[in-house]
Amino acid sequence: MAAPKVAVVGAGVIGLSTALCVTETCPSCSVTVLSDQFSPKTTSDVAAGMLIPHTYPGTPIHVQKQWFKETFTYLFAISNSAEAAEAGIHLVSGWQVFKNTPKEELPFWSDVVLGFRSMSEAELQKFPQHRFGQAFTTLKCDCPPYLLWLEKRLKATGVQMYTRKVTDLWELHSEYNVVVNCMGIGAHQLVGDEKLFPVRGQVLKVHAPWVKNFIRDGDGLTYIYPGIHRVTLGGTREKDIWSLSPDHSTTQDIFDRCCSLEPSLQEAQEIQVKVGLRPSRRSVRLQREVLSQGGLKLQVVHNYGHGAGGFSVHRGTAKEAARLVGECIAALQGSSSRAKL
Amino acid sequence: MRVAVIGAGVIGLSTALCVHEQYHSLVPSLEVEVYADRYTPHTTSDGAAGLWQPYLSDHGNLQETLWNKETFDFLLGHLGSPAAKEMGLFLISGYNLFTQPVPDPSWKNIVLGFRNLTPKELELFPGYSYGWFNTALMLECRRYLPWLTNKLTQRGVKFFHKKVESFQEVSGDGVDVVINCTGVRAGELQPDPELQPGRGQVIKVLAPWVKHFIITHDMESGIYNSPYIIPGSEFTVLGGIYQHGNWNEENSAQDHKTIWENCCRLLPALQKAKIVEEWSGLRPARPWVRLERESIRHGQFQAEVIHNYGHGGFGITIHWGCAMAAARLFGSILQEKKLATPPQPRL
Repeated sequence: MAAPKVAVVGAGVIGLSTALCVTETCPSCSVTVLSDQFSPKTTSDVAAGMLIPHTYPGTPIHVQKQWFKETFTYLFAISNSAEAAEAGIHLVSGWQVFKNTPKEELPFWSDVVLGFRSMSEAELQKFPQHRFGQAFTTLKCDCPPYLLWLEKRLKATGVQMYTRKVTDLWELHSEYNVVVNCMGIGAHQLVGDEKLFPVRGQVLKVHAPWVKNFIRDGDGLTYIYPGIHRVTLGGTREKDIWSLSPDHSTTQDIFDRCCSLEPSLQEAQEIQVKVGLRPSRRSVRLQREVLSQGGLKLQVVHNYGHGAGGFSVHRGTAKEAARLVGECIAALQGSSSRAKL
Repeated sequence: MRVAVIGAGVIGLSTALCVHEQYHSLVPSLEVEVYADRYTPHTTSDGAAGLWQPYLSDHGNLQETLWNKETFDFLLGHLGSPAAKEMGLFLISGYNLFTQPVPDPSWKNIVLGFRNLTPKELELFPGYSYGWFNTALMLECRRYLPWLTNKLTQRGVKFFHKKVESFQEVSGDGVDVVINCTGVRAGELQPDPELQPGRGQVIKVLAPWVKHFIITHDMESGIYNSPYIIPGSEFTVLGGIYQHGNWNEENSAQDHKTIWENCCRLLPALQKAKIVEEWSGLRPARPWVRLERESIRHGQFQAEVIHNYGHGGFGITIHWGCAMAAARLFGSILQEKKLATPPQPRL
């Protein structure tokens, strides 16, 4: 096979990072990104991009830890380089605070982030309603910068990107050898995955440049994440809600909850409201599938269902997806050489 | 009872406020006036990044460590208040870096979450093998001084734009107590060979992705002669110059180069940062802060002077503790003049 043609469907953080990994592991491949949305209109653009993992109940912890570690290491190197600002990657320190002491005091990722430790009494005094807390330093991927940086790197290696709504994977059969499905919540319709469900998140993006530390309530519902230009205030986790329209009373509720954690936010300006649908699943669907239809076969790699943890594991899952693409290509080359006999 | 505060940097304004807050109800005739030739944004305080952090060692000067702590606790108490943003006050975390292990500083239990750096964190800073992480406070004088000025104005304190040439000039005019907060130029009012300028230069850039302060230390070249990066609410301050005895307030191209190259080596992404401003200032350096009373006689006039100057590169860090101490000295003056009994301590 001359230059295997790989289509990556989806241009959020998963699609773009997967496409990049494919170009790295298969330099002879011709990679194309197809998506109906590009930054700044993807789900990833709504997310704060904090590297704080979400736990998938259906994926072994050691696998999740490996994905997180690979992602953290990769981004750590970028944050330390001259490209950090352009890529939108920066270190941020802060606190995760709990009203009730969590069952698990040491999350699986505590030795991957930097300087993880329990908060001191003096630090907890800033949070009178919370009894326990963890302090650490992690990374944040600001979007759009990170997605635009990935797009730039892809274009530099010759990857083409097209705005195109793919409604059926078979559409791509005649043009591509391998299709990588990074459609996020779009996979619900595209491949009819009933196990994939939206968890609606509404956030506020505000101008409050004096906020330099993150604060997250351990219940996951209230968080303050300072980005390069804006601070993301969150949020909501509404299962099976598909609406992308901002809800006004939710906006007020998020603002109030965040102000109770960080009173200075009362002075925040230029409040923008955004909504995203986390593409949630018990486990990330990261696997090969060979579709069959009337004697035709289509090599597919699925890489979707990252829910609330997309940024935290994106590079790790992208590398695995690229490895699976390699398997697809090997399978195709094997069968094409057999066909020559 | 007329009180003249000379100097309108962080020391002058905070001392004026402390004195007025504590004594105006006890001394109905109290009139506080501020005299200065430079007001915000042209004072030495305005050029400082505003990070609360004392020097590495207090040289056994426990008094200064206590004043630092009083200041930190005072500011921490204001963090959750609606005034915080207007004051230019916010929390910030960051790194102190060394090329060898050093003893813990006197302020390790004053700041929040003080700890040593882990090996992985040190990977961020090649060339440095030891360090600290802690959460401290920023107090940006470009906001704090106007905030203090507002509070003083609301209290009826009067401001005069004037260079005072001698203590006698104000005391001869009927002022009973002079509070000398003249910083690096205190020697012009009364010679003080211990007071020297500690010249600094900084470059202000736009680098909003930097969320931590990074302060490096070179035990040989001395404090502030090693690069530092301090992110503010609008700009990030790059610095690392301390020239003892240099009175030049002009920016130096050589110092610019030193700061820029050293800071970019520390944080490569700064190469892409846009430079917005450059500034030089003179830290009022002294082996220890001069905070004491003196009676000055001139002919038939006698004035009580309270000196409060010589805060070096830690004026913001220590200001409130010193303002309170100066106010206590003022209280003792009042006691002597039988004008008031001292108020209860308000710590």
